[in-house]
Amino acid sequence: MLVENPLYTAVKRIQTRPLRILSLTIVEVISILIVYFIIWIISSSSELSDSEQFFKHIGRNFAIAMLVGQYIVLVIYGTFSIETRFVRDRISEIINFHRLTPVSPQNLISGYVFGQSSDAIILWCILFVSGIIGVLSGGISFSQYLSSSILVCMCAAFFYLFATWSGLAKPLTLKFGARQTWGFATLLSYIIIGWCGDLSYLSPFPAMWTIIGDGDYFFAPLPTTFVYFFGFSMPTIFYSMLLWITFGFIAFFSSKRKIFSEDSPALSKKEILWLYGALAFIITGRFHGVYTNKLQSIPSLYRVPSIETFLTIGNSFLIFTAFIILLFSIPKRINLRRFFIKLQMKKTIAWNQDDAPSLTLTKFLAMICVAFQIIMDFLITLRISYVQKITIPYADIFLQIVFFSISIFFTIFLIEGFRMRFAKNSDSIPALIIFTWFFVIPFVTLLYVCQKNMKAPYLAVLSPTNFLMPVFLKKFSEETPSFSIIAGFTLLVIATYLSFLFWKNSRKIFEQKLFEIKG
Amino acid sequence: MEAMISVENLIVDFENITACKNVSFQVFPGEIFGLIGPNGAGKTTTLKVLATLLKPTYGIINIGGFDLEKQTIQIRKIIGFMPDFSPVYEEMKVWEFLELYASAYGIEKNKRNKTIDSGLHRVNLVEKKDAFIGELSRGMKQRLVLAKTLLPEPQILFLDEPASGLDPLARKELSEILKNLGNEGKTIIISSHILTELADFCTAAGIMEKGRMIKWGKLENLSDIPADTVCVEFCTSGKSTNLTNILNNYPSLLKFEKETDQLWRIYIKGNDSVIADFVKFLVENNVPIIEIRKVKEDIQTIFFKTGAKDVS
Repeated sequence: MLVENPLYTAVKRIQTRPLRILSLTIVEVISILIVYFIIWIISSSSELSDSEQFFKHIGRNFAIAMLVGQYIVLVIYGTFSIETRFVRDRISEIINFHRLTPVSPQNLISGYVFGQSSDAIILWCILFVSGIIGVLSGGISFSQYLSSSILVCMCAAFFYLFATWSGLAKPLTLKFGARQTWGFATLLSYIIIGWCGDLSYLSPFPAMWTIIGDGDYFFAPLPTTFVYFFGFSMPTIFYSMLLWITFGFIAFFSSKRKIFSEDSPALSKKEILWLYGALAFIITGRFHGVYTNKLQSIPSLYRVPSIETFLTIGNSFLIFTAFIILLFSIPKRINLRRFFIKLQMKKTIAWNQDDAPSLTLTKFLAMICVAFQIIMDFLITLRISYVQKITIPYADIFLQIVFFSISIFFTIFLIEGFRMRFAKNSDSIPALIIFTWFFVIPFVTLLYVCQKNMKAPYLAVLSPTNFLMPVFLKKFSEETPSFSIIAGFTLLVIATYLSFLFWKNSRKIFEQKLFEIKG
Repeated sequence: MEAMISVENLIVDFENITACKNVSFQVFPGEIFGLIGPNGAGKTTTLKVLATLLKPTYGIINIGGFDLEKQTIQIRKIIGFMPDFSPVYEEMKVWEFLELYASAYGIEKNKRNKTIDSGLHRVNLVEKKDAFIGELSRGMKQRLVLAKTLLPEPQILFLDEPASGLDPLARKELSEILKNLGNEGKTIIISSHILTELADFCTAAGIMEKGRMIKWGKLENLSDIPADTVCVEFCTSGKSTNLTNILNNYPSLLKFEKETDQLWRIYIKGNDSVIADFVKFLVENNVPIIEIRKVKEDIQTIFFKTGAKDVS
């Protein structure tokens, strides 16, 4: 029971002090007035002849302003608040006190989430009830209002779980790891993913924009728009819910582990597998049947994205996958150290997590990956002529993600090795390797395939792993220039040799380290 | 006797440093174990590992009969941990803070108020019960966190630099509280680099330097003076030429050291009662003594003898 949850009671007490609620209400009223003003400008019409129409119009605008207010207070403020609380409690280490109590991890999470969002929930209730006035004026139907409000709650539930996970998993060692900065960074990421392929279904911003603008936008919170999923048209509401529930559960289970122990990994192997399975299922579902004749039979009412949009969606998932893989499943030097100690000590080994150095590199690499993908998205969006000729089966996208991830995994493994070989602060060497891997070779190949006017040049632009793909895909190997195959194999040989060097060298380093420990 | 806390080959490896290098020691039930060493010696890391808040890179650790790696939850039930800089919710009132943990530790609702009151009484904070934590001084916050730590009556306490940053009065108050805890029979590990803080009440100690445990054990074992020996220092008014011969005639004498021409250190077999006999012996032999005192080796003396000063 939530009322018996000590953390909930305590945090709620802090959050619902009258002065706090009052100041939050004032900020919220100002925000809603601004929103109302924007809606009034957008929707002002000269055709409002009689007073009944006028009041309907006012009522509609009022209800919409309340819905947007619900988003602001429940989703944006609530998420920001939860994440900030976790980061702050980790910085002060008070979270360790909670860890030492017999309260279960799930109760700690629910205590934190519901306690910290209690002020947001109170305000949401007020806004929800106020919005009904607009509904009563006839400006908006109750079903529309209710479904939108439910969507706000669902979206908030997902983001609260996500905020819990990110608040618990974010490294505190980063230079900009200040409390508010983190919250702001998260807010910024919500805005960015709002325009990032399928990830936009996770973000509250397109929905908010649709509510305000009532315009022609590809995502709407009401069950009147559809997405294509496994050959069927699925209401966007259900698709959003599917994403929220899937990722929300993964975030919850990961948070449970993370709240028990500060140094447990942000995602366990099992969770990474779940995440991968979910991603594969969703991506496959979104691409299934797109390249069949069914495409033509879809009624025009449904918004059918063009091939460019699909590529963008694919790329969004590539970016997302890259982030996940990069951030959480790279081989850690500490784990390697432990492995060598274990070899020597021949006793039970304890595991630790020491991801600060890896994260520095990871950030760097992730930035490069994202920059690369964004450039490619941009090129595709500009409708480069050859892109329109593409015909690909959906399975290839999945394979791309797999190969892309493997290559990142492999690359970081190598870089970790190189960092050990070279002196401290010699980031320029791995940077050079990454640059060559991700930019030079793809660029040269791109130039080559463009010259040859190949049918599938997108392979050269989507991701660096595509040099390896032709080796595994018979279909492509028939159409792919031998240069790509040779490049792929060469990279494999180089990588194998480098990893051999790394292995040899790191073993030596660890043995030295062990000698030092044994003293 | 079986050890309450047993640490074997503890290694804690961070990115650029190894904070603990093969640290091994044991703490027995009812002992107050002082973990001493300069800043950066690895004391806090060791305590965090023992408090299950930091996973070791390597090590076999047993606390209260439970294995640290496999039985973390059981260990958390019997320990209390107080970090060096006590974290609190500044926006809460003192009683609200204690109620949070009283409730979290499963203390029944009807007993909670009584437990909170007795906790506050224990740390002399009764008059601050309704104050906001943000308004408390640092010393008071430390005592509040100590009260919170003691709420579930843990068998084992890990206190990391509990008096750091406190003024002398607050330090004295905290010292009294810790002494009382020791008298209650709790097993305590207390880390500090302020040696006078520990000198009064520690029964055992471990000295850390550069991530290593240089020396550990009961105070009497750490000392150079054996348990069945009394060490006495005395001063004479002038240079005494035949004092060596006189001392050699004393029957229970083990050894003597001439510190200066006038200052002598004597080791005599027996307990404190032999001191009076020894004074009588000196007077009978016309030795011009002007001062005599029993030498006791406290933590401070032991620490400085080890020469520990480097960080890891």
